[in-house]
Amino acid sequence: MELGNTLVAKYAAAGALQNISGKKSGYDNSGTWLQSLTDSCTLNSKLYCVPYYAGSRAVIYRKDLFAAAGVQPPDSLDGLLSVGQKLMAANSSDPNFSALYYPGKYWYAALPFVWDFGGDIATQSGGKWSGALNSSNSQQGLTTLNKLVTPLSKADKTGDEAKQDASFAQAHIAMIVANGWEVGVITDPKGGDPNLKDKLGAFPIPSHNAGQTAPVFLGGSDLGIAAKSKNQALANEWVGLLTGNKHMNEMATVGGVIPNSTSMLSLGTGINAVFSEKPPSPMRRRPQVTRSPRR
Amino acid sequence: MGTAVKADAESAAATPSLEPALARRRPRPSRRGPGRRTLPYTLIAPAAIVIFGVLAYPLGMLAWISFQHYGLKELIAHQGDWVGLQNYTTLLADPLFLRVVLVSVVFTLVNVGLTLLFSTLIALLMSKVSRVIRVLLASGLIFVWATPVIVAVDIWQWMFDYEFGVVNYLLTQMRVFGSLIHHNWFENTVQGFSVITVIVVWGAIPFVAITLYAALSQVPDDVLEAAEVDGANPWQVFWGVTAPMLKPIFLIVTSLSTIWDFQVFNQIYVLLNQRPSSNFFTIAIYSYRESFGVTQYGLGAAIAVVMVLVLIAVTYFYVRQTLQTVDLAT
Repeated sequence: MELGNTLVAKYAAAGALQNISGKKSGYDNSGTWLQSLTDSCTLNSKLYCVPYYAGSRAVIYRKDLFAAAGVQPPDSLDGLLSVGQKLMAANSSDPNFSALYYPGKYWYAALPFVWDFGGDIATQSGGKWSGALNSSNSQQGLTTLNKLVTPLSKADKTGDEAKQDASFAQAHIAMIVANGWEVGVITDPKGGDPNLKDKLGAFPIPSHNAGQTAPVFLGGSDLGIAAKSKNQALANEWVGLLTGNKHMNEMATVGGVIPNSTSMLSLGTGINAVFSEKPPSPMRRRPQVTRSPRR
Repeated sequence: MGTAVKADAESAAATPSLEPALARRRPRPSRRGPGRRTLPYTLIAPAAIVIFGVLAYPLGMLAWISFQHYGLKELIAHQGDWVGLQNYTTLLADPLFLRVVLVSVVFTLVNVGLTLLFSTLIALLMSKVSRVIRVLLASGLIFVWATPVIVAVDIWQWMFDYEFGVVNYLLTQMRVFGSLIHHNWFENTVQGFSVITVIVVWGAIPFVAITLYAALSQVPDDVLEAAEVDGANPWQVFWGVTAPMLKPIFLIVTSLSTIWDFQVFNQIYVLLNQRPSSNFFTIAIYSYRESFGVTQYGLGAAIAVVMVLVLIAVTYFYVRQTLQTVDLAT
């Protein structure tokens, strides 16, 4: 079965997934799997799933609007704010215009800001997790995010990112924080606008340290085998096929996602390359184990 | 049944004496024997089995799970850990839970009140207007009733949308509240619940209004005329004559509305994109979130049990009143 990388720990700990540590070497590229996806499959040094694919977020922007406002993709958070303000000024006649469209409940896109300032969701000490979003570092990141998007975004503060691609295609938005595959949604002839195809560009979310990029949240999927499956061997074969070389090639070149092995990272071309390029240090792409902070 | 009554009426019409028809209905002295005693139980057995299967068993399981620590691990192992009343003590110490119960109670009071008020007004209106208007009104109500909840809520959501909503546009055009373009109805809890109330009351009115209209048409005209002849104004006629006569119906629709509004779920869940913030939790949503959102089935079950208990406490009064009224009537 396919599981989101943040969900594996929960199901593995509950005993729902087969321990496949002994079969690891039988899968293609198991030596070069993406570290953070492998980490998401590992609980107490046992392997419970095989990395499938990943997606990371970057800023997708409208090249034509940038050119009209005379701005370039920024390389720092301060730069992002000033680029946004220039875009707002250049489009002041449009009351619905957002330079950076940011719905309030888009927590995947808020995490880079938390991490960039040294904050975190939760920290583990002595086998006990405790929430860390109220730490001063986390708060600094969230405050910075708030200062950035308040003047630049007309998005729904109580909404989430579900509508952002459709909104982006309505042509009142210059930038969104999005996954690589969302380019396909924006330019989809049915829900989006195919004419935007040549007008889209992407750049990594900049850090507050000029010249660096912020650590991003690596979303993705893993494939695991149900512990109670009556067809363990068949399931194992299926997982091997889907995560193997042939299928991964198609996923990266056609699907526009990040493949499961570092040996294939160069397969992303065009705009997709931005989403799979290795960001300069600090490399903190990693999945988070979601725990309910209340218990 | 219908044909039997008709046959009785015909035979009664044919023969002046009612004796034969009545005699047939009189209970005969019961025959002795085991078959006689088991027959009634055999006849109610299918219904009893169905009621047990779909009502008693799930409720029993719910209560059973509410005394256990039952998470994802226990679900997979089909085995929970018995923790006694721990889930309930956790709940009572949880400020969010107490707030949610309070919100649900206030929400129910407001929604039941508004539903009954508007439904009564519409029912009274329907009994006064001409036949054509009445048919139009009734059709409109039936259409509202026939709209699936999810579809209706999607359309309401669209109308109250932050970016493209027609409500914000129209209110701005009316120039009463200033510009409401980009007004977010769900930033403020009271405003958000007002929108939810509009949707819930809108959906609840048809059933209650049509039921009350049907009841109104059963109030004898001569009683109303007599009251008017005695010099009562319309207000006095309603409170002195109509309302007391409709009391059993009012009790039934009030208790049904209370049950429906107290467990409101779909409207809030769909309206807020399946991710309502805790400000908008009602007791049903909180139970669902604990059970299926964070896989604490034991705690979720305990919340559901509390919800059932509160409902029993609230509806006990109505049901008792209804039964008393029915007893008086027969």
